[in-house]
Amino acid sequence: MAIGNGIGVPFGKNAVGGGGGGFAFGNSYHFDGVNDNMNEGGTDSSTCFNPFNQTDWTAAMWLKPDGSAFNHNTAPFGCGRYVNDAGFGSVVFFNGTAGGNIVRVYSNLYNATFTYEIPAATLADWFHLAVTVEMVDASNQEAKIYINGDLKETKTFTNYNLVDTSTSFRLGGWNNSSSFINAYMNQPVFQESLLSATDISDLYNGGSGANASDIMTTMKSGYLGTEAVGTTTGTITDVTGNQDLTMSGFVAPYGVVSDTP
Amino acid sequence: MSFKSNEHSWAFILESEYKPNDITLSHYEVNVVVLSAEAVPYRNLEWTGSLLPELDTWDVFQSAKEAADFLESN
Repeated sequence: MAIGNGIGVPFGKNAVGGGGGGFAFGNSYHFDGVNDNMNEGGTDSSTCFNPFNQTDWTAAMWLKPDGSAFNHNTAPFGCGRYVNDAGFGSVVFFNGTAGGNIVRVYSNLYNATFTYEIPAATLADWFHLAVTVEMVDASNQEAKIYINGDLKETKTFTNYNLVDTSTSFRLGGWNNSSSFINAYMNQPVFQESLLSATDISDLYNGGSGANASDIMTTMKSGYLGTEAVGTTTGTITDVTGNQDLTMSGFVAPYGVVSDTP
Repeated sequence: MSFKSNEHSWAFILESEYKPNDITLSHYEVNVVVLSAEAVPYRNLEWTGSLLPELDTWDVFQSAKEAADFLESN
């Protein structure tokens, strides 16, 4: 089984990332919270990762704050921009007056949001975050937050539209630099379809050492992040070549750390 | 404020005040434009190693948290 840096990023409708890889936790990436991010480049809607907008989607990853919590208003991933409190293009934020201990899922309106406060004990170590959005019908969407494989919050939005598609997708933040997260990250997964609670649980348990091949057989075909990832400031590529992300702001050793879930 | 040498550092200056000819470009591993919380563009340098006096007019931090707070508060 391929053991890589654990940050291959499957994109797109098929979001293929398996490729014989799977639960690779060889290394993680460290985002310094100042300027580190990985982005698609480009600024138009055609380059933005569209699954966050008007379709079923799933995002999942292992995270650990660099510090006691995430910095206020930082994002593990995003696609959009801040518009004077009237809109957020980002999908998921961590914030809270005591630090970024609250995971907040936004719609396109600032006040259309729902939250889950992550316990300090969970933030003290690696934890698995998953967010799903299901298009129930043309107007209603059901969003869920999972932490460590368990469903924590569910909310139905109306006319959910998360993305300001004028900017490109970023890992480790979104368009506004002050949103860049202070975190260690492993196995980010993005899929343009809905994962079930069982799937999410299996993802979490995979990180705890479950037999990857057994889990893979129960999953939709290959949505897992695998190895890949350069250790330079150049372009990183997932193993399938579906999507390149350009690393920005990293200094040697380019964010790669051995700390893993 | 005093700084230790050979540490990880971040420096900021308003992009409108950035003069590339006034700094030793090779000293800095990262030289990018970042946006503060108020979407103000800042020139941001990042490096590991000694501090140079050429950054007297910059806001320099040797803590990622303090550097992030600077962006959050501007």
